[in-house]
Amino acid sequence: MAMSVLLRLDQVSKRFGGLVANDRVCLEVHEGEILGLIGPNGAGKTTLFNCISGFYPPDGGRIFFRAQDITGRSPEEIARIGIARTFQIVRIFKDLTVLDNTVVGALLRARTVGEARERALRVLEFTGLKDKMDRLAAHLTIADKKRLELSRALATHPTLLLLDEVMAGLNPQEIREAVDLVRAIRASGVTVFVVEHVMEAIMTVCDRIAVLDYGRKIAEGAPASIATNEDVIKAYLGVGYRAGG
Amino acid sequence: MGEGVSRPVARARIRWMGLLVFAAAVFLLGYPYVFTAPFPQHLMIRIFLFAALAQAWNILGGYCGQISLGHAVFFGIGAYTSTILLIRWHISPWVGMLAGVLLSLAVTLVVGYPTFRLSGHYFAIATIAVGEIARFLVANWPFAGGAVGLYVPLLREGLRTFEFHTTKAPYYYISLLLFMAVTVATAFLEHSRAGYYFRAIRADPDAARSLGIPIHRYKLLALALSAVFTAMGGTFYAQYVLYIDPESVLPLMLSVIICLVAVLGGVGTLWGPVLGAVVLIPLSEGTRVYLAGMGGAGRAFDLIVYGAMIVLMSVFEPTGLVGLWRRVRRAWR
Repeated sequence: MAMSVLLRLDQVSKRFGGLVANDRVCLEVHEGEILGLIGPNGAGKTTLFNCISGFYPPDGGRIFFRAQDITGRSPEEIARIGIARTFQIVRIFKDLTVLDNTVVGALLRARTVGEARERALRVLEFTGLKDKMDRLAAHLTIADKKRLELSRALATHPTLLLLDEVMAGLNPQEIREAVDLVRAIRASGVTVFVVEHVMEAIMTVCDRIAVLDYGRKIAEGAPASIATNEDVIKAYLGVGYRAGG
Repeated sequence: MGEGVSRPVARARIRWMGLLVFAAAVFLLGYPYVFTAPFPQHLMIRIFLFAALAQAWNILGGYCGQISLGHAVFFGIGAYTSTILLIRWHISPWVGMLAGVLLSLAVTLVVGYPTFRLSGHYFAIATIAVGEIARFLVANWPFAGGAVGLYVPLLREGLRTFEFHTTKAPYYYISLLLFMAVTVATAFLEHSRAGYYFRAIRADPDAARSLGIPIHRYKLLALALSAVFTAMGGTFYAQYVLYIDPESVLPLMLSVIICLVAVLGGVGTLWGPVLGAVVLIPLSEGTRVYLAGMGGAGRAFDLIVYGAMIVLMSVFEPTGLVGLWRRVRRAWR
């Protein structure tokens, strides 16, 4: 398949004191795919997202978005370039309504507040939150809070969307809905890069999966090959795991 | 609300609002003709001035969430700039007001750049330091009158000289205008891009950055808007009292009171600072006048009451009087 590379990590490293959170990670995200990133707790997944989205400057290596070197850019520049993210622990604007939260995101590429409102309404319709648009964000259920954070990120009209555990803490029904939403987002032309712990979800939704362990990439490939990879099973899945159960 | 309300009800509400605005306009414009004595007019002037200052503070502290306890600096800049220009070069206080505004803008750049690197309480502490440095500098600067202060030269009264000796009514209308200007500006701000960004920064600065908001630039904008109106209030004060010194226009207590008025009324709301001023200023003026017989004892009484109210508010209704009002209205329905 001749897929163009949207995001390329070249030997990206990040250290906190003596701890190596990311150790020379090389990774490519292809245009239009859903790429999954898994690994045990503390493997450096969120750190990698923070490096890509500009919250941490990497200590080594380079990050390219299309042909552009974006290493060390600020989070606001990264957002403008077209990379949006959600946070592992939801960081919605609690005392704003669902609509106003989304308007803030939409303002990035709207000339007026009115235009941003229209854009936000379209996004909320797409994500299924439109009937709750006047509610205060703080009053939503956890599933809706995650959906709102995703809506807010989508409203910035990203090319690449980084989702950090949007399914954690959801019940099976909510997880199915979240999976459908992620698929719909990809179908709308947005490339998706997800960190996820919910294994059934990530195995069904992703085109490819990369695995981190102790900050290092230990495997990369199609879900089925990851599920049977010896190193991955040893590091993470535990002996006896079989894809599709 | 919006879509749930049927059209006739919405129309009735608009009619009510229109009537309310009309009644308020008649009351505010007619007040000096009904209450001709100096004290009631003085009281309203103080309310307008502090409502304006608290509203200006609210732009930065309420909407943008950056708590400043140094706003006296901008008030002092407004007061001192116009007064010094008038004394030394006979420049009209109106031009002086504009100069004060420009100088306060320059100071926001100098002060805002380093202090906005600090977050939360550390920012508030830094603003206290900035305020105290300014007070100390002016108190030791002979050109600006030092600790003795400056008298605004008495000129023939009139709008041109910004001095009125026979009646307080013109001061009343000028302070009303100042208050209206800040409030209208804030109302527009609420629905603007900057208004959305300010609230996003208050709620979660990192999330705001992830959505492409240059938070330092918008914090500076909030500070600048806030400083401009505060400086205008300073010039007004100088022309109204005709005497300024570091203890009257630059004390920490002034910064604290501006903040208290806004907090008591309800931060981040359009009517909070107004409500706060309507409640607190008569209280402070009242205790000052009626407890004056107790020697010096009456002076700090209003602060004791302020303190008690802040404690009660933060325990029972952290959203301020506006929050209390909303709760009462819900209970009545």
